[in-house]
Amino acid sequence: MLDNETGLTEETARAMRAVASTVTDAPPLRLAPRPGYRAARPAPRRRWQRWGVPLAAALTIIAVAVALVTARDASPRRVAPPASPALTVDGVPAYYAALVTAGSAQTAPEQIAIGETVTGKRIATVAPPAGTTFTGVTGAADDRTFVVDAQPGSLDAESEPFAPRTWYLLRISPGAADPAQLTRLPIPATAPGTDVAAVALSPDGTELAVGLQPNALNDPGGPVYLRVYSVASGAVLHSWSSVGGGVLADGQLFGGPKYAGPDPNLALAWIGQQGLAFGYRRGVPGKTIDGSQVSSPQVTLAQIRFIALSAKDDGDLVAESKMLASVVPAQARPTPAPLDCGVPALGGIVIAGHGLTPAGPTLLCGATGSYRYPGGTEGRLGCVSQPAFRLGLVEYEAGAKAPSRVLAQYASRCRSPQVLLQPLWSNSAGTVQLGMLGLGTGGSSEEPRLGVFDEGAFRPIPLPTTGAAGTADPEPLDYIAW
Amino acid sequence: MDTLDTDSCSPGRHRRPPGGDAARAVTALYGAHAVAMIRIALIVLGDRAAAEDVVQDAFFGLYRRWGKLADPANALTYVRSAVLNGCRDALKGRVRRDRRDRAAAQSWQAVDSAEASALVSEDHRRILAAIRQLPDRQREALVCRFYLDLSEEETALAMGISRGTVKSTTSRAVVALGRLLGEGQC
Repeated sequence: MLDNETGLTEETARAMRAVASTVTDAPPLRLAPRPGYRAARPAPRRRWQRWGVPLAAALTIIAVAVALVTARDASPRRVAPPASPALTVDGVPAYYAALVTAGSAQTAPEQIAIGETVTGKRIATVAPPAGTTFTGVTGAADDRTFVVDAQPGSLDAESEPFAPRTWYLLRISPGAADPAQLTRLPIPATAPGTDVAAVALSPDGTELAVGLQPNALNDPGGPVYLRVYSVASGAVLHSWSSVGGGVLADGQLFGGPKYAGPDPNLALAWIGQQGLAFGYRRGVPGKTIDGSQVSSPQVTLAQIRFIALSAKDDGDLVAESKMLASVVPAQARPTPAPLDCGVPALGGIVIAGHGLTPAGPTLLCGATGSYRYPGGTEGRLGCVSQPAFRLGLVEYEAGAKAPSRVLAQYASRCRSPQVLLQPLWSNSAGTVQLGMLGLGTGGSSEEPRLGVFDEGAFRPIPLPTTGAAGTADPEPLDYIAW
Repeated sequence: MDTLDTDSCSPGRHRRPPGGDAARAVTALYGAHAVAMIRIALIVLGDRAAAEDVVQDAFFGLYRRWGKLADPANALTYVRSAVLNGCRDALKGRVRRDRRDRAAAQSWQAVDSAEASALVSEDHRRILAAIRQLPDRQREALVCRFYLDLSEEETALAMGISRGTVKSTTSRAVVALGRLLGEGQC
């Protein structure tokens, strides 16, 4: 293979670069001893443990309202609700709002690109206010109303973590001379050091739900808050908190966890105008989780919970909410693993909610599973010679412990960070979804594709064009919302 | 060279955490360099999960040690050294476990998983497997010199050895690597 010493060193460097290139993201930094930490390095964690933290980081929810009920009129200066339902093309929202980098410089701020979902074509670009960068975007059901937040500086790695966020209303008018209007909102800016864990605009565009952790830098185990603000007045309409530890609604997107932003909005979801579904996780000492016996003294409890707006204000977030689903820890999963929202789930666990019954909303999940073959494939990364891993888009009825319906299912020979199924949006009936699908081929570093899941079929659509000139950019989007 | 006092992080010896300045500084450093550090650890260990653990521990150790660093501007050097040290400890722990665990093959199967990606060719997997059979110092010298492109002086600083030792160690590592590959032992 190698003829001489120079060739060997060059090939060695290439080999190291090749394996290094498989690392494209890092889990969030935890400034606390992880379980099992000791001076003498502990054994490498088993895969489920590895996913304990990212799982929580990956636990994301999208929700789409089914029945738009009359919104609470709690604000003195009510923002006009959408005048018409969302216009759709092929069953999906006609326009997206995406966070894209304004240039190639490391410190370039994030802009908002508005474009056509089906073609990816950009129709407007909204620059952030001078000296700031956009950090998050969330949309209402009309496909015309968005709320964006901004922070000073840029989103590069050297930027101030948990910098104060200010809030803006973004209305788009495709075809108009001025297709996008940005207006500062009276919602108070967050205090320095506050982690904005998630943002979600209500379907009617009048209320903004925000997951917050004040003093996140110095007190990462401190209380978390879920607050609902009036978009018109900035007043706090509802507030709940959890002081017992735990992490609220943090999520990961295409590029993995973003420590300093952008602010995810997939981990927090409106269910109609009646309540919010949110991801919640915390480490749980003990041996039993949801009746499943596990051997670890510390497991990660990852749940999707629902809280109604009628819940007691200023109450305990956990006590006032109810569990919709509990993600099955890997150590409690059988082998071969069923197609469900268990872990490990490469690419993240993503849950979309729709519908609302007395028992709660229906949830959608990007699921993983495996087949059993001689020699075993469970838990392994890489490719094998036969289909070994399953990806699915599955639906859970409220309270169900197993999928009630498999909307789409795919098999792959490979398991890697590029092999994933990640729903990003669902229509109100739960029949059409937008999301990312990557099956891997084993022959190249195939990236997941954006597309439409429709009645079990996946139809790729172009990734929205990114980059300042509107040309396709090889870098992934930083964020996208509908 | 300053070293990280990871002992101070042991349970039972918990001290009051450093202040917000340390957290901000370490968080920013992590944001900028975590991926690069995980890559280094992955090259050495071949196990993404273990690599992430080593890097988390290194940054947490830096955080706990922040107030005692002689020069915080050199924090990245300290972290890199901590990652290399952490990898060494992780490999030793793995060897110990495998010796007493008859199911060693299973754990090595997992170790190979990082390279099982389609991004890494079979030839490169053989080289990486051979690198992991080298003595600690030789392996680290190869990573510093040929992956990180560090100079001999920088490698010496990262490894805590003299420049001359870097040169001889690297040379011996290349010879050993060629022998391992030629013998088809990996």
